[in-house]
Amino acid sequence: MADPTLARDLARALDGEPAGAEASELAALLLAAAEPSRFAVADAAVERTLARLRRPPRPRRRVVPALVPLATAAVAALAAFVFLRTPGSHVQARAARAADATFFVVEDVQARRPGLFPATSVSGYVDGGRGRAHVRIFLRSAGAVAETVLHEDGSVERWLASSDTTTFAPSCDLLPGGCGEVLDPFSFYVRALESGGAHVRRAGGQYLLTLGGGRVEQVAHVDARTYLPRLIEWRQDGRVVAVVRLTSLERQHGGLSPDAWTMSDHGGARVVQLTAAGRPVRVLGARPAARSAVRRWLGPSFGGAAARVERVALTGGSAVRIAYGEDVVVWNYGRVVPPPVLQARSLPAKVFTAPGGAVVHAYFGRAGTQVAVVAFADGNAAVVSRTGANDLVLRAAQLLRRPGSP
Amino acid sequence: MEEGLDAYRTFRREQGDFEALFRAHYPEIVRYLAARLGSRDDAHELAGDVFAEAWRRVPGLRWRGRPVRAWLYRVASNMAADELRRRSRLAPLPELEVADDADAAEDRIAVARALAALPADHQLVVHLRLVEGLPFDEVARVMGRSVGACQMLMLRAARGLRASLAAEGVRDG
Repeated sequence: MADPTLARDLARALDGEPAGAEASELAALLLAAAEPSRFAVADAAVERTLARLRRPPRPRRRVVPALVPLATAAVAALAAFVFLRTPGSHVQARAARAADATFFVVEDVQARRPGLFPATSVSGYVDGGRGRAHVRIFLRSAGAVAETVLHEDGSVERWLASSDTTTFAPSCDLLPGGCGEVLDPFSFYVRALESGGAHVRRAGGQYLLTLGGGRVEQVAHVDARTYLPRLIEWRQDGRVVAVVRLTSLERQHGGLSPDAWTMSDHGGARVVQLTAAGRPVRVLGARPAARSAVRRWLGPSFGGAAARVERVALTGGSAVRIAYGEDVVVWNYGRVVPPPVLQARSLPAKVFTAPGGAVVHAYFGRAGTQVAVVAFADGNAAVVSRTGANDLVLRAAQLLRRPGSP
Repeated sequence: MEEGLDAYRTFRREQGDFEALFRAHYPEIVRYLAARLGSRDDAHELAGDVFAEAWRRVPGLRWRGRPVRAWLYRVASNMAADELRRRSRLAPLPELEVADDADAAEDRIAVARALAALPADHQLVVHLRLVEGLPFDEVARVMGRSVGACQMLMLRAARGLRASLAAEGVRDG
C-alpha cells in the first residue's frame, strides 16, 4: 500500500473506523504510546501557576496627552454623532464607554487610482483611557516602514526604517510630521465629524455618513449594530480617491502586557533623543553631589565598592549618577534619559515586575551590556552594567531603594 | 469564510485576554511537555515559562491564519528542545515517571521513551491528535500544514515507534 493511502487508512483507524491490518496495528501502537500522556492537570495547579504569572496592574494616571485620545475618541464621537440622530439612545453613556477603552485597530489604506500612493496598512493598539498608543505602518511592498509608541506621559518613540533610526521625544510636536500615523485616518475622520455638517442615511445594515463638502468629502460606512466605522471613502469631485478599510477595530477586554506598549527590538538602529526644545540630548558635564541628591540607589556600597554620587548635566535636563566601582552605575532621572541608558534601550528587552509592583524593563546587549530600567512613581532609575554576570542588573534593580531605607 | 472569521476572532480574543488563554491551554501544554521531558514536575515548571513568554509576546502577534495555540506549541517545543540539550550536557536523562508493576511497567517505559525520542513534529502530531483529541483538520491548523501532511507525519511517527520498540525487543500493542 502506498504511503499516502496507508496514512489515510491509519487516520481512519485512529478515528475508530474499519481499516487495514497494518493501519490497525500502527494505530494500536500509537494509542498505547499516547495513553500515559492523557492525564488531568489539577485546577489548583493551573491557578497556582496563573497567580505566579499574574502581575499587578499599573496605577491609572490622570495625565492624558492632548492628541492621543482622539483616536479612540473617534469611536466615541462617531457613536455620539450617530446616537444623537437616533432618538431614545443613551448618547453620553455609550460615547463615554466607547472612548474609555483600548482598541486594536487595523486599517488598510488603498488608492483607487493606480500609482497615486502605495497600499499601506496601519495596525496597533490605541488606549484612549490612559492616553497611549502603539502602531506600526506597513507597505505591502516593503514590510514595516515605521513604528510609533506614544506613552502615557505624552512622550513618543518613533522608529523609521528608511533611516533605521529610533527617535525619543518628549512630545509629538517635536517629531517631523507629528504623530499622524497614530491618529490618521481616525483623527482626520473625527475632525471632520466635529466640524459638523455630516449627512446621515441608513443603507441596509449600516449608516452612510457623508462628511465635508466642496470638492473633497468622506463617506464613512458605519455598522448599524455596533456603531463602529468599517470603511471610509475619500472622494474628490465625486470620485473615490482612496479607501480606508478598518479590517479590525476591536475593544480589548483583558489587561494587555506592558509589551503591547513597548517599541519592538530594532537592533542596530541609531538612537536619537530630543529635548523639549527639539535638540539632541548630550552629556554636558558632571560634578560631585551630596547623597541628598539621590532618589534611588543600591546603598552606600554595592559589591564591595563605595557609592560615588555625581550630578550630570544633560541637554534639556539633568540626572544623578551613582557609580559603584567601574562596572555598576545607577542613574536617577526624569523625562530626559541619560544617553548611556538610552543607547541600551534599543536592545532586546524583558519586562517583569519587581517586589512592590514597579515594572522593570531589562535590556541585554550582545557585548555584555545590561540595563534594567525601573519606573517609580517619583521618577526613573536604571542600573547599568557593562560586564556583570547575567542576572546582576535583574537582582540589582530589585534592590533599588531610597537612601536611609534598610 | 465564516470559519476563518471565527478563527480570527478567537485569535484576537485570546490575544487580549491572557487569563482565558492560560486557563484554556496551560493543561495541554503541560501534557505535551511531560511527554517531551519525561517528567510532570519539569513540565509544569517549563509550561510556566512558556506562558510567561506568552504574557510578553502574544499581544504583539500578528494574525497569520494560525491560532495562538500554534504559537504556544512552537515556543513549548523550542523550550523543551533547549531543556533537553541542557540536560544532555549536564546529566543523564531522568527516569520516566511510570508507576506500575513488573513487565508492563518496563514496556510502558520503553514506549514512552520511544515516543520521546521521535522528532519534535512527530511527537506534536501524536500529542494533538491522540492526547488532546483534535481532529486532523484542527491539528493541521495548529501545525501550519495540510491534513495530508499531518497524516503522513502520524504514519512516520508510528513507524518510528515500531522500529524503536523492535530494537528494544518490546512487543507492540
